[in-house]
Amino acid sequence: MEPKSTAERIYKKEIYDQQYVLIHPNNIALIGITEEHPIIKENLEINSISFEVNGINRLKNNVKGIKKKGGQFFQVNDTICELKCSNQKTYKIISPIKGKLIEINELIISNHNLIKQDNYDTGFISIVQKTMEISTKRRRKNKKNQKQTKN
Amino acid sequence: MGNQVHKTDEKLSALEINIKSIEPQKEKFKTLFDLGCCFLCCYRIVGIIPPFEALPIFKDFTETHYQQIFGETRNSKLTTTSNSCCLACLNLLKTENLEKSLLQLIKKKGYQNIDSFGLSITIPPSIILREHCLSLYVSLEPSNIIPIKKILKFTVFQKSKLESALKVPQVEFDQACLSLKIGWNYPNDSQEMSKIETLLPSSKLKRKRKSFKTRLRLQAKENKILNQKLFKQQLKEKDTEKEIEKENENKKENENEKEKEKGKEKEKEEEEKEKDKDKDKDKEEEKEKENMEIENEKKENEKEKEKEREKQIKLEDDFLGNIDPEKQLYGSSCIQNTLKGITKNELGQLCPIPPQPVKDETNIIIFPISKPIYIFGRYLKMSRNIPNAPWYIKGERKGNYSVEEFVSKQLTNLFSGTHSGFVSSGREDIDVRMLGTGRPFILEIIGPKIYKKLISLEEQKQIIDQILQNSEGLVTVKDLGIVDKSHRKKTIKGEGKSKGYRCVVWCKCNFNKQLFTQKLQQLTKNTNGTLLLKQKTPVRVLHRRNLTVRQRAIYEIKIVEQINDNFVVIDLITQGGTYVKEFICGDFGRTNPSFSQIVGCKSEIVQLDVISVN
Repeated sequence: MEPKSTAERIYKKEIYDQQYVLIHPNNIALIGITEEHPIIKENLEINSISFEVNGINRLKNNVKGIKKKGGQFFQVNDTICELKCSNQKTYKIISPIKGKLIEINELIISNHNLIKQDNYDTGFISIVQKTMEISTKRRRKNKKNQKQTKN
Repeated sequence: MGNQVHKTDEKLSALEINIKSIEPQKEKFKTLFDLGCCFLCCYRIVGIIPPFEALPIFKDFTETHYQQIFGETRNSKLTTTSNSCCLACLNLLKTENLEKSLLQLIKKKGYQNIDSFGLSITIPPSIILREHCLSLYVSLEPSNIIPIKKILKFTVFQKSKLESALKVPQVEFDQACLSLKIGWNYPNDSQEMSKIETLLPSSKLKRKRKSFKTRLRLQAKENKILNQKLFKQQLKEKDTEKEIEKENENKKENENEKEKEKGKEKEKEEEEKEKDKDKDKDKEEEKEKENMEIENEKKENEKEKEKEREKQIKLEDDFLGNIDPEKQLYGSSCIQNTLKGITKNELGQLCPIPPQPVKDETNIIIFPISKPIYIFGRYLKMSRNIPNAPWYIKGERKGNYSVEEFVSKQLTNLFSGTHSGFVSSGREDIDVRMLGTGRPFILEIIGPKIYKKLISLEEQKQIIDQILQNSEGLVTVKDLGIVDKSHRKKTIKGEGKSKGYRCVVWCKCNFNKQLFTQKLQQLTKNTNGTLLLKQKTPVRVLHRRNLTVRQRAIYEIKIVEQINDNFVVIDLITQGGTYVKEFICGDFGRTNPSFSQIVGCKSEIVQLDVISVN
């Protein structure tokens, strides 16, 4: 009889096309790859990871304060990093949700194999704070309130 | 016969004293007295200190006294009716039977066992206007007026009288057990002051006075909002210009360029903002910590002062609401300073010189404030479903009970207070029990009416029985006692000391005791048995805490029992502030070293209890 791990009990799992997103009720999410990704299926070796995307370096992400100011924004399908494997193919890892980057897993940088061995636990790739979705009604209310405070 | 002679001698001597003291300003004294001021106010406005030996005369003032002092009969045209009151002081100096009203109030509200009392007096501001106008009417300098509070202290609020009536010593307002705020309700106050309030500076309002820091903060907020709006407007203008230029050219190639430029601009501006802020904060963490501790103490002291001021302002609002809710209060010195700069002719256009007579309608209002009581104790929680404090999600309450409510209700009923504030040294999660020594807390009871110095053993038993009944045996209390305010800081700061836990752990592989102890000894060779940890803020708490690395220590790990190959019971003694659940499960590899790393396989925590809080 096995008790469930914390990741299964508390976090919600969402699968987006060979990648998973674990969302905590406080809107913080972990991104990683599932077992159907070719790196795990075909047991490829990872030679290097590059974190420079479109001129932005993901490792130079500085986050300050409780509201996490200064983090890099992700739109849907923005790339986080690129993995170069032994069969000379590069796999992109994208973010399937909108949010702000808080941290990239430091254990991956030194030990590339963790992504394969422990993809759900210590082999995650990044922590992202999800932006809350506001319905259109609320957006109009907020705009009205701002105009009133102006006057 | 002999007694009557003595009485008349005393009266004459009092009159003679008055005649002598009036001589330097006799004519002006007479004009003021004929207008309708009381005797003491004429002394005040002329600038002479009244002789207090001769005070009791002024109650039964007849025309013979008038003739003896001034040598003339009173002009009947200028006399005022019996209903009207003194022009300058509005009959404040004639209040009587203050002690009776105080005793009645104390009985009515039910105060018991009071140690000391204190007073604070507020005067309706139209009195200052009236004094000023009268002195200008008589062509005297208004800076020579004796303020009315000085005379009130010697006549109405005499210390010896009040102390003998209440049988309790008088102390300063802030330190008294029962502090009384006294004011007068003058219904025409707002009318008379309305034309001069426009001249008074609004930054000196008593009711809405804010400290310098809060004013700066609010200004900065407004500036930020304005800057952000301007920034957004500029962005929109730039975007529209670019779209117009590039619609004429090829669209596909330029769409990619647009996205890149927008992203770059945003990041550049964000980086610039960070650089401006980072210039002040580019220091090592160790040096910062020492400075931060000193600064934090100062900030805490200032925060406490601001909180106390806000509390006082709230109480003042309640008090002033009884008088006149739409009134704005200014201090007396502020009004005097503004009136200095106005000439007589300008004043004459704003308000009548001399001031007009009014009916005797002022009432005295007394507002009591009692000193709060602080109670110390330790609480225990035997359930895994009760939160520490009431829990609200999006405005709705989750659950019906909380430890705070169980503990505070009974104790406030003992002292019959209005409400209370609960502070404990540390908290625990909802699914964690608190056993053993209990966690210390301090309860502040606001507005108590019954004062005691001790809680007797019988009362403790009653309280404990009632709390157990209400909570069905899940919450109790220990070691109650009454303390000073200084203990509040100590309990909040006591979180840095050690704490003891007991937890049930599940391991994926088979647990081997010898291997575990060997590895532990290897890791703790240099540090005498304590394990040093580095913890990043766990993911379940990241939404309300900074992202930092915390260094903590675990002083002892003991294996109590091994139930199974996979289940183990462990005792821990740790430094205050460690996240125990993350120490055991590893938190996605962000705490080093963790229990699962030492054992060699995944491990999860099943149950947790807090045993000791030191």
